[in-house]
Amino acid sequence: MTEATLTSGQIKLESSDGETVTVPLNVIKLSATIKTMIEDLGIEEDNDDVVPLPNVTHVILNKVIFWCDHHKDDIQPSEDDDNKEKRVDDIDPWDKEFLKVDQGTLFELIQAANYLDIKGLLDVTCKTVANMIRGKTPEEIRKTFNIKNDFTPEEEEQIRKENAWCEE
Amino acid sequence: MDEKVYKLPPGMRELAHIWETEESAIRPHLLDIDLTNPYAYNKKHKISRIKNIPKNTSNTQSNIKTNKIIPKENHICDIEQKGMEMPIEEPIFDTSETDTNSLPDYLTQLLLEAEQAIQNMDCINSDQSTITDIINFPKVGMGHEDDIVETCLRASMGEPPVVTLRSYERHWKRSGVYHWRKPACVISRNTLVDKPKSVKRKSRIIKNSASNVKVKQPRITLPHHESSILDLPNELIHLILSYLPLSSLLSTSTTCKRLSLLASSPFLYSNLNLSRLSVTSENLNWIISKQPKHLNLSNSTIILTDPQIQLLLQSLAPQLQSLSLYPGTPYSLKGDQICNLLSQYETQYLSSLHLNWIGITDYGLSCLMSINTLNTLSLTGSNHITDTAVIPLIVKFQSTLTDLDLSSCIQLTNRTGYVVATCVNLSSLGLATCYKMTDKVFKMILASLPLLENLDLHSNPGLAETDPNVLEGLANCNKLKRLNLSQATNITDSHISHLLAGLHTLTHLYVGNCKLTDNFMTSLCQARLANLSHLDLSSLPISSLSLSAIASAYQLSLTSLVLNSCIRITQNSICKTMDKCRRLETISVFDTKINPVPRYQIKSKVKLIGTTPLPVLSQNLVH
Repeated sequence: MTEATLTSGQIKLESSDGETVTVPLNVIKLSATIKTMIEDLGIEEDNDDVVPLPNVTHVILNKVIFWCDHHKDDIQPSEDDDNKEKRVDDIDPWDKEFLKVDQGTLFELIQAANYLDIKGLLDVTCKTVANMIRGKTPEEIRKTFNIKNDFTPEEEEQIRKENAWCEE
Repeated sequence: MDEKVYKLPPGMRELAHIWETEESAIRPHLLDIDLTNPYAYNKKHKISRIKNIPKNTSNTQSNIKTNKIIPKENHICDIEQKGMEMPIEEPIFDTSETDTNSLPDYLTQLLLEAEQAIQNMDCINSDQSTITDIINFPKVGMGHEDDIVETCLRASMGEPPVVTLRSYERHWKRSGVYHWRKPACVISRNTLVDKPKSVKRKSRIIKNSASNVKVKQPRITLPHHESSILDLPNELIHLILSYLPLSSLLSTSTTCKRLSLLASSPFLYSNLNLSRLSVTSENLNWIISKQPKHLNLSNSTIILTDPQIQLLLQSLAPQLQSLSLYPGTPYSLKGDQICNLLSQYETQYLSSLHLNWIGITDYGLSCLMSINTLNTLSLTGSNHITDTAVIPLIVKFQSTLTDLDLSSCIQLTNRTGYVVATCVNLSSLGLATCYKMTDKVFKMILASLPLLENLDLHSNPGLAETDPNVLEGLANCNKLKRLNLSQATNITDSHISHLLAGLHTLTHLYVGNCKLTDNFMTSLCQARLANLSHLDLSSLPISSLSLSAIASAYQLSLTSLVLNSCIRITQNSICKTMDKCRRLETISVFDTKINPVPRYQIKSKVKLIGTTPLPVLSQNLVH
């Protein structure tokens, strides 16, 4: 697999629900999973091989490809420095628009980004969810995400007490 | 658009009639159908989620669609068979008695079969949930019935249901119209879940009478399946949590058991920022249990006894990499004590210390000599420390130091300055308010530290007092991003103007209260510093013309502009600047005569702060 094929070739992906999508390699190269696979297996250009993606539905796959297409020319971000606090206020406006989806889709995108190993997409989707949590009370968080409170009242009181010092 | 036109079945005519005659309040329920042409039915309005039903089912094949109701006694539940639509009348609001008899025979038969099938499934409680319960479930405008009927069909075929019925009640309450009971049976992805038994069959109440029914939004978009953050695997939830600040992490840990467990992982707390929070005996153990590598206690309210502080540092020292202290209120930190404690324990990873304004003396500094390496050392506000203790410390970390801040250490003299000039790896240096240093040492520092990115020399009236070429060294600093010369009151145009063009990496420039004039502004415009985003020109006697020139030259990069006390600036030039510089976020104009600019007059999102309110406006406020 040469660099030239990576920029010009195409690859067929099959979603979990059986739809086949043809994607330019220079778009899907953002997925480290697929990139590695292509490099290791050496899929030829115009080959009929289809890469099955058993964890991604075609709806999500299309969204992922759409995202990759918009970001295909981005400069790859350098490795995160763990020492620094992660920023969440730097979401690109295009991504913000792109991620105005229901929670189900958002979580599926996170899973797909994780499975396909698309760092930028994983980063921005996780940030979006984190922003949905920020500044909310526990009750608001439960409401936002449909979380069932499975603490007993005693447990809840206990844990609330332990955490009360951080309330501003 | 490719729309398929269906023949309207007989019942639809009645529907059309109701549309014509009934109150408009009911109409929204019918919006799915284009009744202006009762013989046309748009395919696009159909809910097409049923297409997965196997084709070999006998009389029940295919696309079922619907979700229109007519309040009161009429409900249309049309099931489409081979392109035909059959309206079914069924009481929908009054469901105190489930009346399957009112359904057409074939559907009754279908339901009975389905019910039988559902009862045979062990995952559903048959005496609580019957198929009629499901069928009678709220049906307006959201495609529920598709789900329901599909469920029935699948059930009658012995297949597990795959559709999702969400908690409809929520949506109903949102529309503010009805009180519905909870679903008798909720079918989520591949699972049937029993609803609480407390839900009584006959408890369905209509709050408003049918004629008052108003549905503002008859079609509500539902997410395509029930989803929760808890569907994600642990490592992804963990990743999301890693983006949260402390307070949100603690909130999250109070929501449910699984999140509590995930949110308590020490990995999320390796960078523990407790600034502006309190550290007391109550959370001391919590902090210790998290074993943070980076601890920020700036502005924290620390209410700990000496033994407790000792315990804290003793427990954290082995893995601590950085420590930031800056006294909050009450002022309880004793700098020397902390330095002493740090020297007592094994601190092999410690590399960054911010010990600002905590009253460290020479004794404290001598304790710090036991630390192995330091790349960041900030001692601002330590006004007791002297050259005697500082010099050996800097010499020890000479080669590793990248960040050094000795601002407001007012006793330090040129002797320290000469040693600082030997720390060749410094990228950030703060020597603000070091009164005792002179041009000699500043010149030497600038000439010998080519890696500087951040230089803070503000409030040094001694700067450029004697040597007109003191800033020449800036020409070597080709990485400089931030330069702060504010309050260096001896700096004039001739000191810096000719150097500006060389500072092409500059992003932040603070020259407020220097002796600079419009000539400097001209040089700044000519310098074309592509990245300049922050500019502080406070108290400079710059003209409106200069400001306009700056605005033109830096319209693509400026995000923050400080013009406090620039009394020659006019309202008009401010407006022009705001208009030109599209990336501007703030303009500060305290102590000027600038009035607020109405939002509609400016295209950018810039905030104008420190304006003088217009007299008229303030009068309005009074009234």
